[in-house]
Amino acid sequence: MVSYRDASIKRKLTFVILCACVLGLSVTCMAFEIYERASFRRSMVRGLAANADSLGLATAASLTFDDKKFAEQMLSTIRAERYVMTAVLYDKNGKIFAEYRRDGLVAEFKTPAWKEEGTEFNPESLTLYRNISLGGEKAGSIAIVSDLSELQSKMREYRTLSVLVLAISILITFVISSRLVRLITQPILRLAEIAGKVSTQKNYALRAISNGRDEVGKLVGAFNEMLTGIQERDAALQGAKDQLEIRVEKRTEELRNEVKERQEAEAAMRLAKEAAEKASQAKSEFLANMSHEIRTPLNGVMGMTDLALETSLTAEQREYLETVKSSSEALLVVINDILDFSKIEADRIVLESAEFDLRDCLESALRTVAVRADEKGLELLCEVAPEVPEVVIGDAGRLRQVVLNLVGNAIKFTDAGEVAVRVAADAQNGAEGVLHFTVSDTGIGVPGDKRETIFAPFTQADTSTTRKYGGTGLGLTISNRLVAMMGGAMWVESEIGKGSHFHFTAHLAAASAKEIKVGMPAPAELLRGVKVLVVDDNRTNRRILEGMLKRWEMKTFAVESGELALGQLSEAREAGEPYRLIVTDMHMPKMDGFELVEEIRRRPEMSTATIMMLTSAGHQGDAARCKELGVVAYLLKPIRQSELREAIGRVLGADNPEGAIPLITRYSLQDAREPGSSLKVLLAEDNVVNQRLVVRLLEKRGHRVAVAANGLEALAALKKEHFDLVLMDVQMPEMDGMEATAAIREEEKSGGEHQMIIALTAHAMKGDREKCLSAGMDGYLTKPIQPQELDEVLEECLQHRHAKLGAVVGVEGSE
Amino acid sequence: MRGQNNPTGEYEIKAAFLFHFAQFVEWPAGAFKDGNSALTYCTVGGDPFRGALDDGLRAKVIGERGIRVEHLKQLDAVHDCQIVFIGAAQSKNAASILASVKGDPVLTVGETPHFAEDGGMIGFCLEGNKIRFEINAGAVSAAKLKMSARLLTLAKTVIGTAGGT
Repeated sequence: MVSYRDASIKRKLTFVILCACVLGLSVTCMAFEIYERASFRRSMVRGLAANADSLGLATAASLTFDDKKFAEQMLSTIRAERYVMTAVLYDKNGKIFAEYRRDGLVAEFKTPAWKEEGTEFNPESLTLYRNISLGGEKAGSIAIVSDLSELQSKMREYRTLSVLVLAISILITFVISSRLVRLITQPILRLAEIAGKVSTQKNYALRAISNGRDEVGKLVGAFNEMLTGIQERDAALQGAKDQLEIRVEKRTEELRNEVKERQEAEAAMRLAKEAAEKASQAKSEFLANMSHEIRTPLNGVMGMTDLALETSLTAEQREYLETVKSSSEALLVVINDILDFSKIEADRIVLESAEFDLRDCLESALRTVAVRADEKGLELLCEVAPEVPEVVIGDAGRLRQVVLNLVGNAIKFTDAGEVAVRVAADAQNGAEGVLHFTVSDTGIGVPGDKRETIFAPFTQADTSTTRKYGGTGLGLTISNRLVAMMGGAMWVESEIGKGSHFHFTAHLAAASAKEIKVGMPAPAELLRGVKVLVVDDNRTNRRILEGMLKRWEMKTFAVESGELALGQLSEAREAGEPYRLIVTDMHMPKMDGFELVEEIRRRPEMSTATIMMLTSAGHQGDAARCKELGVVAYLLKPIRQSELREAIGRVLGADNPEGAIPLITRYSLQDAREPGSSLKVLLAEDNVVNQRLVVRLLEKRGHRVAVAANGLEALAALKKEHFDLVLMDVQMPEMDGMEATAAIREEEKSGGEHQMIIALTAHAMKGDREKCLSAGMDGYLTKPIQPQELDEVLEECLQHRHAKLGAVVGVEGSE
Repeated sequence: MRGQNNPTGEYEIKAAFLFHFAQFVEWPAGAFKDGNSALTYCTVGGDPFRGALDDGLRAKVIGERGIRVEHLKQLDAVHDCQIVFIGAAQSKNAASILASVKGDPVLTVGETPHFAEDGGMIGFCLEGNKIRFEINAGAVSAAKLKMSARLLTLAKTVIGTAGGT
């Protein structure tokens, strides 16, 4: 079928004609054959009937006279007709009377029984039945059976003839049609050839030749018209294309120019960027150098001022020196701020990630500003919610910086009232390890339109504020950035004249329940169930104290004034459950702490409770007055949780009831904690002023100091004798601090205990802390050295030694 | 022949044959009184068929003529008959009867032996058990009767020729 579809038109046409011819001839032949067969049958029947009639006539008499023999004779006369198989004579009643059978007829061939007059065609035979009458009466009947061999042979002949005719006709038709078909196909082939040429050569100028007005002629005409159309369109298209090419060329030229300009601009920009980066680099280098250059002399100024202030001075001299001190401190703050800011700008701050005790960190930070708060008569509070983990992971130094900045600002802008620091788990975010810090004050507040800008650099609420309160205005910016680096945010709520709430969040994950707590905390059973009365006029403070005490399962009751305290004491006594401990604030309106204690001492029957005094700032003579009144402990606020617990443990655990133990202060706590609190310190420092300064600071705290001028000397000294602590300046001639530390650590590898080394550095930039720590140092102090920071390092060292000794005691029994 | 006990009845067959003979014989026009006169069968000297002929021919026709059967006592009456059957009982009278109808168009049928040889036209005879007949073609043509060749072909013996006197 497919191959037929692909055949040429000529072949198709020939095929169609042949088909029609064959079909027509076949039908004709078939019709003739059918007609021939029918007419032959008719003539057969006629012939048989004639025979039957003559036989009937001949046998009628024999039938009537019952002459079988004669009848058979007569029947056998039909032998001449070769196609007659049998002839049967029946009597009147249809019974076979006489029969003729052709010679060689098979025995199986049955003589037909009488039927009605008529003919009967079988596939193999024709039977004719006829009645025989005599004198108008039926005398009998006759049947003649003829085979069809004559018909068949005739038909065979006829068919052979038909096939012959058909074959000749097809041959003739094929010859004629293939010639005639050419008449139709020739023009089409010519057209196809032209079309092929057009499509391969793309020559639309070619035309097909038309020779006729038939359909093919019309097709050729249409084809030519189409070619003309294509030719015209081609020309138009070519024109458009040419124009387009010109336009594209033009546009390309423009683009090329543009790209060139852009490349030039880019190159210029790159140059500018490189220059800017270089400038920035230079700025950072400059700042680092400046930092060092400024800090070193400033260290001298501050340290020496401190030392001078401790000598006997005239009032005038003291006033001058105090001014120098506060000026230099202010200068230090400014320098630190600027450095921090430039570090942040340069993205050079890398937050540390270490475990630290959050409460300790906050408490020690607040202690540094406690004096300033007290001087302004402000209550300084710290409240850490119980759900806040003890030990968290983060950068303690930077957290402290942020808190101090906010608290410092709060103190600065508050004239009366309180400054409170609160820490809680950030419930809002629901995220694990996010803490929410709030620093609240009762100060002047921040006006609404400034609340956003105060976090921007070089901005305070307004310039007049700067004039009044001083400061660079960088603190909040730095804090804001630091908080962001800690994964938190900072914002402010404020009401003019009522105060501000500075909030910030920070991601400080809880550390594993590792106890960092050092010292000698009171055993839990000593505190459990002890009745304590808390007296403080400040509600927040009461809550904080109560919170701490309750954590240790003490029974607390808090009152807000001395008068109420007295009432509560007598009530408890009458109830038969007297208080064992009173923790009272010193500064209270109407009746202060001392007055309360005096009242209690006046009526000894009222209470025999142990009394502890808390104060915001120590005043001359306070300690003496405490001793006099039998107050067993006198502690500075904000009180550290660990300190409070230790102090309570100490006063409650004392065997002798009252007055027998010495007054407990922070120093006495430290003293009591470390019986031999004197450390042997090696100071490696090349600068003579700093040498003198640090030696003085250490000796004042009762430590023994040896001095080395450089790393080599320090190594030599360490070989000679044991030191509890090495304070190592980083920048020294001959061998600097880093090298020396590396050498010491190398030595330790071949046995020997860990030597504690703290770096002293004027470099507050370029990840100095990381450098120091990676060099093997245990910590670092930034120059100018702040006594507070030095104290912390020393305390840590003492605890370290103490723990070590404690471990050794079990084995050796003594130091 | 009477003594023969034929199951189909000898005289029934002979009666049928008598009827059929008439079918193959043509009488001249003068043999009948007119065109409508019946064909008359006659027996001489009683009825040897004992009614079988009357029964066999009742209501039959030959051509367009009816059939009449007469049993003659007197011999002279035979001239009006077209077919005369002379039974075995009349064998002595046969010659005289034949002589009396000589020249008349009367078909004579008898059953005595040598009836045809003795001047009769058709004589019954027996061939085995079958009743056959002999024909004296000369006597037939002498009586101006025309006999069909088909009948002649069936005769056991044909004496003389159709054309002879």
